[in-house]
Amino acid sequence: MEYIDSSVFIGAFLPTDPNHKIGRSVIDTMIRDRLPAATSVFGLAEIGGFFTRNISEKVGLKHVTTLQRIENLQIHYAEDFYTFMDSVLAISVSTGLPGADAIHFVSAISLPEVDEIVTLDRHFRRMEDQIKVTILRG
Amino acid sequence: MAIKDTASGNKRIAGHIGRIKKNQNVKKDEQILDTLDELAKETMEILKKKGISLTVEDFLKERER
Repeated sequence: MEYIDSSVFIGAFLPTDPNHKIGRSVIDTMIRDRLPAATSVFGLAEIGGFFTRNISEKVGLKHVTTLQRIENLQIHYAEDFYTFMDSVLAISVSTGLPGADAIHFVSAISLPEVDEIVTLDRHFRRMEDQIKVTILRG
Repeated sequence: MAIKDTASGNKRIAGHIGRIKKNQNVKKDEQILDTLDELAKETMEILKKKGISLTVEDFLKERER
């Protein structure tokens, strides 16, 4: 199952982004073919915050609630916050992965079904020895 | 945007939390792709009004900070 990083959703939702088409293609295929996929509540916060800051609060909230309605998109919530954040800390320090990316990585590996991270963020290359990483380019 | 420690600010945030929680139980509809198309149009209109061209690179720069 793919873990979809928030950068893919943001690219898909921004008509002015060079990755808009490829991002929409990933999201559209996931929805249309009901492919099981995952993201995290942290990712939803990133997406909602980005659109509220730059577009409007209404658009930010609509994007988040629309993602919540996708039946086959699992949204990861950390069950034990302290253990989760200790893992994030360990990953960041040991690999140099930025903190936000480490939250996504730990969310992804917390779900046993996830075997791939799909992203537009090249920092995830650092994790290619741990999990399959697909970096989209439009 | 910081969370405002005011009655109106708290009420607004509580409203969002209510909508988000309620949405988790709403029957899944098949209009999601149409909604995403509408949102893209709305986003484009606002970007044109603001005269800016936003990309994922802007998001990634913010994420790196």
